Order: sequence, then structure tokens, then C-alpha cells
Amino acid sequence: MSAELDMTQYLGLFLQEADEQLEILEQETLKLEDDPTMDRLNTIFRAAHTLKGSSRAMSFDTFASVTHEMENLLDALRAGKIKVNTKIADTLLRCQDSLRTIRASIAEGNGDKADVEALVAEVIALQGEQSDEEETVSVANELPLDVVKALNECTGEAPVYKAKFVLHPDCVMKYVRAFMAINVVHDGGELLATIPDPNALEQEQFDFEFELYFQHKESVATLKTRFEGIGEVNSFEVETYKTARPASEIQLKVEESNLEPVHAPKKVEASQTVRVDVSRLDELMNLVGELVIDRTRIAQIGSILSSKYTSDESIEALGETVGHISRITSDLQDQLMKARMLPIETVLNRFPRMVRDLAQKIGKEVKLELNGGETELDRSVIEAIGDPLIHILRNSIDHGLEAPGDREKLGKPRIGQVTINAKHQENHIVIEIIDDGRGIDVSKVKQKAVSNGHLSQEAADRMTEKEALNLIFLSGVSTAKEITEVSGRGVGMDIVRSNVQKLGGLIDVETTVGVGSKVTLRLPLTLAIIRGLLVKVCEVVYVIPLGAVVETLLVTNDQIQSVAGQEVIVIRGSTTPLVRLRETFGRNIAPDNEPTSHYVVIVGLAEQRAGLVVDSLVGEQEVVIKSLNRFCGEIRGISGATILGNGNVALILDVSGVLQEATA
Amino acid sequence: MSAAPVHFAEQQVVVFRLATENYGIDIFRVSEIIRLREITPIPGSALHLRGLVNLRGKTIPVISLRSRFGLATDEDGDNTRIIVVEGEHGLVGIVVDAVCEVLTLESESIEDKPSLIDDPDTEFVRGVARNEDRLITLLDLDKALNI
Repeated sequence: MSAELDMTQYLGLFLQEADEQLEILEQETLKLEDDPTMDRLNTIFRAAHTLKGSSRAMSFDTFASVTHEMENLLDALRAGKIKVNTKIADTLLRCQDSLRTIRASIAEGNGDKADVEALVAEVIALQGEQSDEEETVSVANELPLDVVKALNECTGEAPVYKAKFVLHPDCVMKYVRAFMAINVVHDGGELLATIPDPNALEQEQFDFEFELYFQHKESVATLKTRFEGIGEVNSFEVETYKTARPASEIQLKVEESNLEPVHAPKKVEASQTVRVDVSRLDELMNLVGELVIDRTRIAQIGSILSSKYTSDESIEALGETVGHISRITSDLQDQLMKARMLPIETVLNRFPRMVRDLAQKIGKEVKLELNGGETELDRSVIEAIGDPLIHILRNSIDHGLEAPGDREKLGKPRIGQVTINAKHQENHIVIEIIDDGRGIDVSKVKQKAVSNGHLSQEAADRMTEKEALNLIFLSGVSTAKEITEVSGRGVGMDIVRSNVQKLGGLIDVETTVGVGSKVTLRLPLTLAIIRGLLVKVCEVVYVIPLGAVVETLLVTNDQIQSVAGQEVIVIRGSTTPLVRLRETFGRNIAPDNEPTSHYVVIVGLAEQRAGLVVDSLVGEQEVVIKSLNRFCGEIRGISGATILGNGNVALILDVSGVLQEATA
Repeated sequence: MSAAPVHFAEQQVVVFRLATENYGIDIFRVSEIIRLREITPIPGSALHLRGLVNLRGKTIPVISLRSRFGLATDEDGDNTRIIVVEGEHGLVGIVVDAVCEVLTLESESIEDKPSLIDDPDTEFVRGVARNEDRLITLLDLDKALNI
């Protein structure tokens, strides 16, 4: 019972660690093919090793067996016995997939049962494959795994020595000399390991140097005199590799020295970190949100009091304190926002693998370039942009890029280039997905939209290039000639756009036929706090997200025209439909006397525009978004609620919902 | 009455008034009682939902019990209160004309819902309790909140 409890306690840790290490495995394996450095191999090895250790500790034997064979394969790579190729990278990736599946099964409480025999057999087979090239990667600073293993397994009190011999270049019987050295070791000691391994020594497969690792009860000086008796040795050195220690400690030490390459990259100055549960950050964010509301309230009360008691000297002090609290709250908010920020890498890092798989599947060659991965944005946005980005990326590769052969015919490089750039721009993050494919043929898009019944031929003919391009965001419009498993059903881009708009973002497409396309996403850095325009409708205050507000106008009655029963106004030549919020919010209270002019807030998302008729404008304020209580259900035209400076609740307008109704 | 009170057969209820009638709800479901404050209406929402109020930084929905029970909707007065109760989906406020007292009711003073009023409009009635010469309608809160 208690043992079970203990396991569940560690299970969370194990799963978390598995996630992290699998992430490292994948990232590094993907880079391995292009850049097979020893550092990278070591990193991957360490990750596999960590996973093996922790899964063994949790007795997830299937998990451990996969990681164990990965480790062996990686070790063969490190030792230079085999070289990195696509097959190995593929297999390593498939091992990771298998591990992820097992991890998911463990997380669901189904244990680590999985059929990995075939995979494991494959990995073992790869380990045996001889490298085509004789050349081996230098592992000068690394001890082969079997040596480390031998050193780990040695027990006993005697110190461990390392003796390195350099034989005379004219030496003809190298093994005899080595054998003599080994005999010295056997006299009162135990040979643990040799470099090269004993077989290679026997067959004289080494230049003129060999190393012996052994345990011996004698001192270095005594050993030296004994080794001096061996002929044809140019030089030798004996040193204490490890002094006698309890076996467990030796093991630790040796593994560390093995796993940390001496030529490791300069250590990055690691900042000290604490792991914090996300829900705690969210709770903290809520509290700060309340503080922000109170700050605004206090400021309001302060100004009321100061107008009432102008002569009272405490009023000045109150004003100062209120100012100070305001600044501190703002700072607190900023800091907390930063704490919730994650680099966009966390999303982008998923893509190389996806692109690799996709390209292989559809027979295209793709080079994916990621820039600005360090750009930070709020967790909430990070979570929400993954799917839209995947859609766009798939579109670019499947529709945008031509097949390698076609590209060569067109005089383009065989390998298609897809670039994702992320950068900050004011209070937004801008993400661009650029491909150098065939671009979007606007006339085809029009045709498709017409044949789908989205618009009439005349309307299509009147459209500008830009307007026509936006048709790709309509449901069912896809210019892909055939539907593939990947895309082409025309359901992608409309979902992408609606998801982006839900986040309060904008999406834009630019394209040049034959040269490529560029999709630009502009998203807010956070979803928790927005700037809003406060308006009054029927004596109730509503918040319109400022990001969607284009401008505000005072419109007189005679400027409002009617087209087919829809009220519109003409702003600088373009016709904008009007939405009377009094009607939308259905309180049916007609104003006492119809005013001669109205406040109109022009809102826009992408190319859509609409004018919202409100009773009055109240002001601008930073508001903390709170979701509507489940009790209230889905409310048309409302996306959430917030609390205003005066403590009252105000509803936040769902601009994309209102726009859809207005322009439908 | 000389017998020792049977504790588990007792229950404490918060008694409130709607129009001329007294109602009781289980005290363990009551989170707090607040004065009436600005209620922000939600356009297009369910009929009995008056809107949202700010409860220390949280927005909670508020239901008009008068409207729910089919009583005439009165103007809010000085005694009008919002009883914050724990509903199935979190806190919910109910607007009542006045909160009277907290009563401990013996089980023998509680009668099950009279079969006479067994129709869907009164499904939220759990029983009726007699206290001195008053009648207190005990509410099935979950049913009353089901709007």
C-alpha cells in the first residue's frame, strides 16, 4: 500500500522528466543528421540514459528496454563504429514516438505495456551495421562504454590505476609487450579494462599506444619499477585513476566524467530557477487582476475625495499614495506577465519533426528555417497558436511547394524553403510563414469560390486582387487539385482565421505566383488583460477590445443610408454596415427621443468592417478578462466579462461574432 | 418534548422572504449574504437570470427568485439581499426580498411536500416546515437554480 503510494508520488515527476528528455531527444536527433557533432551525440545519449535510469527506477521495463537499446546505438555512434545516416535518425525518432506512446499509456494508468520487440530488434540490428567509411570520429576524451561499465562494476578496496604505454615505432610484436604489461597487472591486481579492447590488443589493432585500467594493491612507484622491465616501450605513465572509494561513489564519479565531454561548450550562465505550477501562476494572475481593478477604484475614490476636501492636507498624501500604488501594481502586473511568458520556441520546436515526416510522406524536399524562437509571449497565446500554425505550415508545404522535379524544371533550387519568423512589434507578436513555392493563383481562387456558390461571377470580377485572395479563408475554397491526406479539403484556412480572430489577432496573406506566399499572423502577447474602449448602450457599459477598434465617429442621421434594408454609412468611399447595439442587445428600449447624431465605433478584423452604434463613449481602460460563468451559457455577441474601476461588472463584446452577423 | 434532541434529525436553514412567503434553504449551501449591488444584465440570456455581480473580483451570476417562482417582480428595497449559494457550477447569487433568520428545525416539524402541489411549477419545493405559527417552504436548491 505504502509502496504504491510512493510510486504515484514519483509518477508525476517521472512523466514530467520523460516529457523534457523526450523533447531534448527529438530536437537534437533532428539536428543530428545535418550536424553530427560529438556534443550533440552526448546530449542525446545523456537524455536516453536519464530516461533509462528513471524508467528502471519506476520499473517500466518496456520503456527501459527501448531506451537501453537507444543508448547502445548511440554509444556505437559515439565510438564511431557506425555513422549517422537517415535510417538511424529515423529509427531514433521512431523510438521516441514509441516512448511517447508508452509514456501516454503510463499517464493514463495503463502501465508501460507496448509491443516494442520489432523496434528494439531494429535498433539492435543498426548497432551492428558497419560504417562504410573507415574514418572514425575522434573520441579522444571519451571512454568507451564498456570501459566505463567495467570501472563501474569494480569493487574492492584497492585503488584504480590507469597506465598508458607508448611502444617503440620499430616494435614488431606489439601484443607481446601488451601481454607483458598485463601480466604485471595480474601479479597482485586485477585488470578491469583496456583501450583498445582485449580483442583488438590481441590482434594488434592499435597504433603504438594502449591503456590499461586496473585495480592494484601496490603504489604507483612500485608499479612503475615493475613496468620498466618491459622492452620496446618508448614511454609509459602510471597514474591513479580513482582512489579507493565505496563502489557507489566511484560509479557516480566515473559516469559523470564519462558523460561530460571535456570539450563541452562553455557553460551558459544558468539563471536560478524554481518550478512553479501553472495553476499557481494563473491564480496569482487573478489576484493581480483584482488588484488592478482596486487600483483603478482607489484612484477614482481619491479624485472624488480630493474634489470634496480640497483644503484637507491628507488629501495630498492620499494622492501620492494612490500614485505609488498605481506604479507598484503596474510593475507587479508586468513582472507577473513576464513570469508567464514562454519563448515561442516551445511551439516552433514541434515543427521540424512534423515537416520532416510530412515532406517524406508526400515526396518533397523541404528546408525549414526558424527565426526568432526566443520571442516571448504569454502561455495562453502559446497554447492557442499551435494548431493554426500547423495548418498554415502544412498548406505551405503541401500546396505551396512544388515537387522537387518540378522545381528543378522551373529553375528553382530542388529543396523548397519554408521560413518561420517571429518577432515583437509593439504590444503584439508577428509571425510570418514564408514559402518559395508556386504562390496562390488568385483567378483559380475566384473560380473555385464562384463554383462553390460563395459569390456571383460579377462579384468575383469586381473584386480586387487582395479581396479575392481573402477568399481562401472561406470554407470549402481550396485550390489544391486533389485532396490529399494532408490538406486540400478547404476546411483549414477558415478555421485558422476564426481561431486567430478569437485570440484577437489578424491574419494576412501575400502571394506572388511562381515566387511564393507569405502568411502573416499578428497576435496579442497576452489574452489575460486587454485594453478596451468602454461604451454605453441602454445605460449599461460594454467593453470593446481596443485592438479591434479602427476609429470612432459622430454620425448624423442623414449620413445613414439604407441598402436592401441594411443600414450603412460611407466612410472615405467604402460602405460600412451599421449595427445598432441597442437592437443586438435586445432590450427594446427605444430612446426617449431619437437623437440627431450617433456615436459609431468602427470595428474591424482583417478586411471586415462594421460600425457599432452606441449611446455614448465612456473611455479607455485596461481590463482583466474573466470568462462568463458556465451558468450563463453562450451569449450571442459577448465573449466575456470584466470588472470596472467602479466595481461593476461589464460585458466584453465579441467583435468577430458581431462582425459575422453584420456582414453575413 | 422531554426526549433528548436527535441531532442528525435537525437541520439548520436560512429563512428568507419573497413577497409575503417565507422560504428556507439548507445553511450548508449558503456561502454568504451580501447587500444588493449593481447587477449587470446579460442581453439575450435566460429569463430569470438578472445578470452578473462582482464578488470580490469574481463575476457570479444572479438569479431572480421572484421571477423564477412566478411572483410579481417588485422593485428592489432596502432589505433586498443577494444570498450567495453553492450551485452545481460554482457560486450563484439569488435575489430575495429580505433575509429573516437562521432556524434550527426539528425533523418532526417538517412535512414532505404536500401531494396537492405536485406540479412542475413547484418542483423546487422540498417540503414545508412549521415554526410557531409560520409556514416555511423548504427549497430544493438545485431544482430552484435550474433555469
